[in-house]
Order: sequence, then C-alpha cells, then structure tokens
Amino acid sequence: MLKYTLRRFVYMLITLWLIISFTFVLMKNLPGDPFGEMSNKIPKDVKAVLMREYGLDKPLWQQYTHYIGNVVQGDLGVSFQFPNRKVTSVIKQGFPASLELGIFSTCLAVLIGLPLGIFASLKHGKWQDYTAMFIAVLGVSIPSFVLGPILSYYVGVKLGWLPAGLWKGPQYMILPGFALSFGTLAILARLMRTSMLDVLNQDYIKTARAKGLNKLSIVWKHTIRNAILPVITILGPIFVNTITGTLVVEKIFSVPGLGDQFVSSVYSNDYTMISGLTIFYAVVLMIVIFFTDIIYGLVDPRIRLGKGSR
Amino acid sequence: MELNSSKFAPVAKETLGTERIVRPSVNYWKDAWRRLRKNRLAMAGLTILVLIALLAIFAPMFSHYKYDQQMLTLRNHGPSAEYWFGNDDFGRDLWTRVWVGARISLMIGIIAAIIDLIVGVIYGGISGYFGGRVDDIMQRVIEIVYSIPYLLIAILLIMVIGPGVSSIILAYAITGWVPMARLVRGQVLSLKEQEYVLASRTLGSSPWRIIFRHLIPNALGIIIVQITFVVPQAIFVEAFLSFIGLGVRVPLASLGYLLSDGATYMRLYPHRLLFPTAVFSLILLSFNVLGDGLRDALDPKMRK
Repeated sequence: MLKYTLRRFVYMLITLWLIISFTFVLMKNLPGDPFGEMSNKIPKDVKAVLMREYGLDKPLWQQYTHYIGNVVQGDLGVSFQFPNRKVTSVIKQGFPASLELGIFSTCLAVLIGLPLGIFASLKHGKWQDYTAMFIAVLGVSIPSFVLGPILSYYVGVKLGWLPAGLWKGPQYMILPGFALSFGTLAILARLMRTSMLDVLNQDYIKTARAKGLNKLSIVWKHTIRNAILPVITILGPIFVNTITGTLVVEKIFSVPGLGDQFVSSVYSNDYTMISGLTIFYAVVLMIVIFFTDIIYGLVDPRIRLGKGSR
Repeated sequence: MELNSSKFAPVAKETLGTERIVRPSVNYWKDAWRRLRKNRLAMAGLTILVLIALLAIFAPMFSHYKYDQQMLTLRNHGPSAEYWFGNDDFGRDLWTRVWVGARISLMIGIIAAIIDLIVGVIYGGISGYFGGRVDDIMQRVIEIVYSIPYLLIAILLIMVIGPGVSSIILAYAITGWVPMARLVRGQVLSLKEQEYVLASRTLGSSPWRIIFRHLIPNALGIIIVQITFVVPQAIFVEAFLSFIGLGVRVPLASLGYLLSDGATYMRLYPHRLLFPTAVFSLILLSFNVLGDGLRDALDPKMRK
C-alpha cells in the first residue's frame, strides 16, 4: 500500500511538472510583445530596465527555473490586465464559493445518482428501469450550460421559487448546484446500474439467496458493497468534471467564484491570470485524484495487498 | 474384428440431407445487426442521426439564405413559414445557421473519432501486444496524460494559438485518445493468448501483421462502441469551449456557439435557444442510445 501511494505521488508530481512546463512554453510563445502595443514607444534603455526587472534578459532556462521556483513557492504572478491584482489574491477571493458549489453539486450527484442506479438495477427490465435510464441519458445529453439558463429563467425568474442568480446564502446554491450535477448524476446512475447488474449475476448472490437471506440484506450487504467499487474509481474524474463545469455555471448564475473569474480572464485575454489559474486548478484536481486513488486502494483489497490491479 | 458387408446397412435416402446446414450461417456482424435491429430505442437513435446528418449536409445547400446573410429588418423574429427556426440578432436565418452548426459539430466529432482510431488504437494495440517493458512504459505515459485536466489545457492552448475549428480538434487530440488506448490494450491483452494468434506467430507473421490483421479486427466491436461515445464527447467539448468564447470564429456558427448565443438572449427570444438546444441534445441523445444498443448487440455475452 505504501509503495502504491508513493508511486501515485510521484506520478502526481510528474503530471504537475508537465502542466507547469507546458504553461511556461505556451506563455513564451504568446503572440505580441510582453509590454503591449505601446512597447515601440518605450525608449530603449527603459525597456532594458523593464526587461531586467521582469528577468526577461536572462537565458531561457534561467527564466524557466525561476518560473518553476515561483510556482513551487505559491507565487502565481500578477494579472496581465490589472497589474495590481495578484493571482493568489484572486484565488483567495473566488475559490471558497467555487469549492462550496463544487462540493454541494458532487454530493447532490452522489446522493441522487447512486440510489437512482440501484433502483434501476433492482427493477431491471421493468418500466422503472427504463424511466430511470431515460433520465440518465437525458442528463448526459443536456449539458449544464443549457440546463443552467433554462433553470435560471423558468424556476428562478418565471416561477420565482428559487433565486435565479448571485451568491448570498444556501438557497442560492440549489439551482446552480443542480444544473452542475445533472450530467454527473446521470453518469453515476448509469455506472452504478451496470455495476449492480454485474454483481447481481454473480454466484455468491445466488448462494446468499439460496441460504434464504432476506432481500434487503442481500442488496445492502452483498450487492451494493461490491458494486460500489468501480464507482469510486470515477469519483476523481467526476469531481474534475464538476470543477470544470463550474466555469460555465458560475457565469450563468453570476456566482462570484473562481470559474467566473477564469472565464472573464479568457474574454479579456488576461494570459498570466489564466496560466496562474490553470496551474491552481491543476494542483487542486491532482490532489483530489490522488486521494480518490488512495481511497480506492484502501477499499479494494486487491490493491491494498499489493498484487496490483492488473 | 472382421469387417464384412453384413455389418453395414445402406443409408436411407431421406436421411441424406439432414446434416446439411439449411439456414445460411450467421456471422458476428450479421448477428449483431440482427440484435441491434430488435432494439427499438437504438434504431430510433440511428434513424435520427442519419436524418440529422442528411439535414446538416443538404439543408444549408437548399436554403434560400446563406448562414451569414444579414437581414436587419428581421432581427430576432420568431419562427415563421419563411424562416422555420426564426432569425437571430442580425436577422440571419436560424434554420440555415443551425444546420451549418450541426455540420461543423458533427465534423469535429468525426475528426475526433478518426484521431481516436488512429492514435488510440495503434497505441493500445502496441502496448497490449508487446507487453513487458514496452507496455510498462506506455502505461505510465497514459497514466500521466490521463490525469491532466485537459479542458484547462485546451483553454490555455487555444488562448495562445487562437480560436477555430482546428484549435478545438488539436485541443481534443491532446488527451482524447487515452480511453480508447486503454480499452484496446485491455482487449488485445486477452486476445493475444488465443490459439489463432499462436498459429499465426508460428507461421512467421510479423507482430504488425498480427496486430493489424488479427487482434484489432477482433477488437472492432469494442472500438465501434467506444467511437459512439467519443463523437458526442468531442461535440460537447466544442460546445463547452464555444460557450466560454473559444469556439469557432464569427460569423461561422457551430452548435456550441449558437447555444451560448441563445442562452444570452433566452429571456427575450426563447426560440434562439430552443432550436439549437433541440438539435444539439438530439445528436447527443441519439449517439448515447445508439452506443448503448451497439454495446448490447456486439457483446456476445448478452446473447439470450
């Protein structure tokens, strides 16, 4: 188990290093001058001072190591458009809302998606199964950026049941949270159903039934516990989906989160802000994936005992 | 033991033909097609897809208006007999624009599928067949690439090289092939232990011949199913990128662009969101339903 954890950790570092390097390369290849369109009018000696100030006169590899060093120390640079805004302070401001929204909608997806999948599998081939799976397919086919505006308008504005936007309290989380979780909910429900059906066909379920165990304990103790394993593996990617989904959902519901910030930076071509935020997102996602992998290793004895999954 | 004619009896004429195979033998593909045809939902998906593809190809050709033709007197008009899907804020015919958009979205989906077929299948095939050290290294690479949050990287990449159809495809190509490679590898791993592979190797076939002539054709079922999930995924990525302003360039319209545009004006002109959404969701829905049906049809274990 320790070896497995260590290996995953090293991979995480390699991936992060790749992402940071990729970001560096892209930033170096940006079109135009680092000092904007006015740079022709800047006197030569002033420009040289500026270049030195930003370390742009050094050879590329020194710039690279400097950049990596900064990132490792948690310094993600300043905004390209608003030089007095640091990327880290923007993160501090926006991340709490995004995190709340992300966690809320992941919970929503798990709490609705898994029971839906279990229910469908127990009613396999009946109309309840088809209905549940139709909802699931619908969830995959209607992206959050379509569902969002529709919910915001009809439930928020026309019916007035829930706030149509902004971020002032728990009730403001419901619509964006649901818009965000609908797709992941559907994926979870489908996966859970398939996995349940697989397990229900196993011999040990037949044995349990032949022993005369009651239905509830067969489903609870024998089926769900085994069927949930493959579902845990996709919780990491699910969370990644949700977090990237916040980019558009926050914009739709005017949630003052990091995703909203990210999208406005895209619109205003704020390159340094975007590269900084990308690295931040990457770090968060890597850590989440790392921990879901470890949890999976803990619950699946085949990995825990060091035999490896393949 | 002595054999003589008394020990034998002539075969009755009427029994002669009983062992002949009367019905034509059904091969894997025919069998799968037969099972797919019984799945009404999957067939509905297939029909809708064919219909949408035909409309995407021909509707803009036979339309009286061009997708970028502005008619400023008709701004934001609702659907009418002349403009079936209404007009947008420049008075452009939404019917034409939706189908041009569907054309672009489908094209992105198909190109993504081709990339997947080439890179993913070859990568997975090599990794699975050679095994050992090669497989180990190739799997490590996959594990690393797989955990890159690619939408973020795609956004960064498009910011630098500029938006457009080719940027979207390039962005997809970075990591889009990984699931396919994993799938093909798994399949090849189990297939390469089969006797026909051993026979082929004994006859001196090169590894390439074995991979491409024996292993991949036998994994084709799974590959096709995966393709039906790759196409909507790529279409979704395009829509996502368009939604945050990194899609195709105006006045060109992809479905994602129309969706994002429609969402902005939804409160005033719902028709501008309704029609692109309907077509977009129908494409995704049909691909998903068809994929599910194909998975059931191509998997011999599902045979009843």
